[in-house]
Amino acid sequence: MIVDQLINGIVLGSVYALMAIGYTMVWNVLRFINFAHGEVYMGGAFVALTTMYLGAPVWLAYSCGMLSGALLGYLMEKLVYKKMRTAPKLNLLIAAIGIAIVLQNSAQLIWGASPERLASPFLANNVNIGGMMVNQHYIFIIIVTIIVMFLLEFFMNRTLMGKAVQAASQNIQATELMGINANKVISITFAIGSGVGALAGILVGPVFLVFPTMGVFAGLKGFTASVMGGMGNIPGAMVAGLMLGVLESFAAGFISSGYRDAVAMVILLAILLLRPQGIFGKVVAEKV
Amino acid sequence: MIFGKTKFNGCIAFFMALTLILAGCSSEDGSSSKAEASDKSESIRVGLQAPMTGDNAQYGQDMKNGVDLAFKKINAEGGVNGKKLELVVGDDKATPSEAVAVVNKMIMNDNVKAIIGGYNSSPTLAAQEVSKNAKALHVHMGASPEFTTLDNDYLYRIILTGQVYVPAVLKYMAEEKGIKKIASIYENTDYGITMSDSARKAAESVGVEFIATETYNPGDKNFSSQLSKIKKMKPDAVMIVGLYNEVALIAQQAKQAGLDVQFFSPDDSMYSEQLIELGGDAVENHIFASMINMEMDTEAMNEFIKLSEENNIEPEANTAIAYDAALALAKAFEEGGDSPEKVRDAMAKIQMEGTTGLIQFDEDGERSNAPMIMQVKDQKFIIIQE
Amino acid sequence: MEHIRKLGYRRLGLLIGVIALLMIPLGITNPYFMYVINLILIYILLVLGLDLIVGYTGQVSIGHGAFFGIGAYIAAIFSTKLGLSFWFTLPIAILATAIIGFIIGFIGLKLIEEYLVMATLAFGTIIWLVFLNWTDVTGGPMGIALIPSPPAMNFGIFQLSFTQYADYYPLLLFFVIVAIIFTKLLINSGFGRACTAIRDDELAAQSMGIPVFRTKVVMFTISAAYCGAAGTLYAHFIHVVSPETFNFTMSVTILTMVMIGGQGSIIGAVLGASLLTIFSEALRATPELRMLIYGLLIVIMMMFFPRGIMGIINYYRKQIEKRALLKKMKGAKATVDVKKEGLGYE
Repeated sequence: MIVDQLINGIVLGSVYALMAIGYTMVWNVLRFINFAHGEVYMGGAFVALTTMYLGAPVWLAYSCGMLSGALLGYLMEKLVYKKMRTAPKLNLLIAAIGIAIVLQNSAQLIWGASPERLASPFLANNVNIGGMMVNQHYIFIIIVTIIVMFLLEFFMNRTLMGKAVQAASQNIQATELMGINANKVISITFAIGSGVGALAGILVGPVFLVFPTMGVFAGLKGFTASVMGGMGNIPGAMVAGLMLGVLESFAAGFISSGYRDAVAMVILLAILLLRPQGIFGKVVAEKV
Repeated sequence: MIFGKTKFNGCIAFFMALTLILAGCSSEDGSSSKAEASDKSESIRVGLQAPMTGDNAQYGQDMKNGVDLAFKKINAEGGVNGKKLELVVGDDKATPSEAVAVVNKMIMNDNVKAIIGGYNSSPTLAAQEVSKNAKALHVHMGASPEFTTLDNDYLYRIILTGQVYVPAVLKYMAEEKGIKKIASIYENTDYGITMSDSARKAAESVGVEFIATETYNPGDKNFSSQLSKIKKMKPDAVMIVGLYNEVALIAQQAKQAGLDVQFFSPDDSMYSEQLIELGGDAVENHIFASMINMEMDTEAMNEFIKLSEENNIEPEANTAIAYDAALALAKAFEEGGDSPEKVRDAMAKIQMEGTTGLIQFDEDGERSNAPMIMQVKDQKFIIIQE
Repeated sequence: MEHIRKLGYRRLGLLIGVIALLMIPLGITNPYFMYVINLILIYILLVLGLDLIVGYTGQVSIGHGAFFGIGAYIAAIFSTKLGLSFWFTLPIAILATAIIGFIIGFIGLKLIEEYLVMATLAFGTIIWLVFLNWTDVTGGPMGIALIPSPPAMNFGIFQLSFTQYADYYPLLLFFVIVAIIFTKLLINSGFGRACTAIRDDELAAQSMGIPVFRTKVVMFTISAAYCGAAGTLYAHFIHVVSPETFNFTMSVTILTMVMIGGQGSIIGAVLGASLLTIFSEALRATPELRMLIYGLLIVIMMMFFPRGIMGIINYYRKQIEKRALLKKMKGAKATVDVKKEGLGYE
């Protein structure tokens, strides 16, 4: 039972980690919580579902879903957030929630409310690992997450654009003065964060189904993971995502499944109060 | 100086404007209801209280299709005593407070004479208070046994109560499948709790035992922790009380967790093509009790299938049941005329053949047809015991 | 002389206004409209409460739906399980939400801006999950039904038996008027001015000797108590409470009403609550489009009218005032230059 819960936890945690990246990257450059990020997760999964329905092979459908997720994030920024750069944070927050409501309900209009299953070539098989039967799709999720983490790490540290994103998260005005196009950096950030978020949605689609409100709780969890890891800290967000998934799974298994979602919220509150810089964050003196 | 003058005047002016607008609306409504009085001879309005958005929207859509079909048929045949039937749709989002709000609106604003729905037990339990006070017939599809105990003459249930379904399916499991130890996982709502209670009561008489009970909340998608607890108890069979989304997911996740036993459900809320579409191989061999068989060769069922083909509607079980409810309601209106009491009495005495067999109600507003036992075999629903 | 006459007019205006408001039930024969108006009054209470903390103190909360829920559930539990009447459940609920508000405020208000948003969000979600899962007390997803109406009241001329929606109207109106007067008194007091100072510049306020943290906590407590009162009224009015009513969406709805009406304004609160409620009820006929249009409205309002309806009104009022001023001043240039602060961002 402990091993069961651990595997469930790691699978869930991988998804949370992928979600957390989107929140953290956007926070890095714009210092705001993109509450519509959960909807990217849902949108990507639905597009993958539709492409597959049209007869595309699995890999093509998954990539289409990811790309459309990235596009959705990009458009969100271009159409709404860009126009609100000088707005108070509260307005931005409410606008983000408004976008989430619009996207959820458009999805319901287009695809209907009933959950649908995204196909996966791996779901039907179990593999035997040391006497434990583990579903192949779970292993697929974990492997994909690890690959994405390495790719992101490479992008952030080894490419020019990645370095520009890092610079922008230090100080966006200074970045602009150095001749880097800040708008482009912000767009790229949104696109990458959203693409990864959409991938998370596509990965869970075969297990937890695809439906219009799927992004709400996934968004909250990803968001909690990003706070746990320290807002703006990408490796921190990944580790925190995994931790959250495992903790949640154990709590659901040994305490009560109804309070599964409460675990994340209690952790969120505790982190905010005791260690607002996150588990892996450094203490930064507030500039006055 | 409590109030700034302009602000205060603004406040008053706003409220007066609001009053005027709303009074205007309501008087307009008054005149339109007078206008309606003249064309009342032409239409009877019926409300549908069902989940049209959210996780349960599929059920609401199926019910709406069924009622639409029935009304189309009746109106094409000249309506009820020359009056056309008109459907008003209200979305209860499968929640009690929305159900109360929407039934209120339909009865008071849209002037509906009867309500069909809801699908879920908890919202219907809350909403029947409103329709009872307004003397509007309420024909619902909630499975919870609790409805029998309510003192509401206007409440009728078009499906069977859980108290009929549960012993039937448990008896089958015990006698035919030799099941002794059962684990149950149920929805934490009126429906799930009361069904699970009746199952535990019925268990002794058929010689089975419940060794574990787990719950989940409506809308949950991850059942892994409940399933690994159940797996540890090593049951012979698992009873799932839930709708098709949950049944499909639970069966699938159980398979992934390596829990490979017989699954069954006490009632037919998962009788839908959606179950097979979502569950695939995992729901193969799922056993449940049902009051309706879509393959049945009766006059009413054939007519329903023909109608749904003509109108390009998927003939789901819930569509057929809602269709029955609408036909029964129409018959009650035809015999009862304009007085709500007479319509109610007509409903109480009704006797007609529907897609679900003979429709008639006892003094509690319950039907008493015998349920069949069905099973999913080769991606199809087949009857394994009449 | 002039002054007294003006005061007299105001009294007269007040009297006429209150009578007009009380006459509403006579003018509206459709009970559904009465139901919507009552709902608006409850929302006004909520929005006034949240506006105290968002509009006047500058602290954002997206967990106030939880206080609303706590009030409603306390009323529901005490009235159905212990048989207490509305007049007992109301003070209990107000007190309880105030205490919980105090605790949450005390813990959470040390955080700033986004961190406070996250903390209130977490708090709201936890409370909602408690409503959903503590089945023995809250009824779980089924909620609690059959909450009794307030006891009948007899005023000689007319009596309120609380059997129809129109009967609730005077009661709710009374609470709304009390809340408006209380809010007005509160924000005009020294304490209220301290709050506004904190909103405008926390650091400056601190250096002026305002106990920033304590002031915020007290305001948060009062704000929670408003929502508790609204919750009690809601429970006794709708007669059924269930968890989804008080989830994240409700918190967002209240906050949106504050923002769309215009922060820091009583009329704005009234306008925001009324318009959004009417809007959402009017869209009930098209359930599929309802929330979509609602979401679009929010995005558009936030993008183009960040200060809400009051922002638009203030902008045009200032323009008119300026014009009038220009007319008075002979020889002045005819161009009107109004700073667009009402419409734009700060």
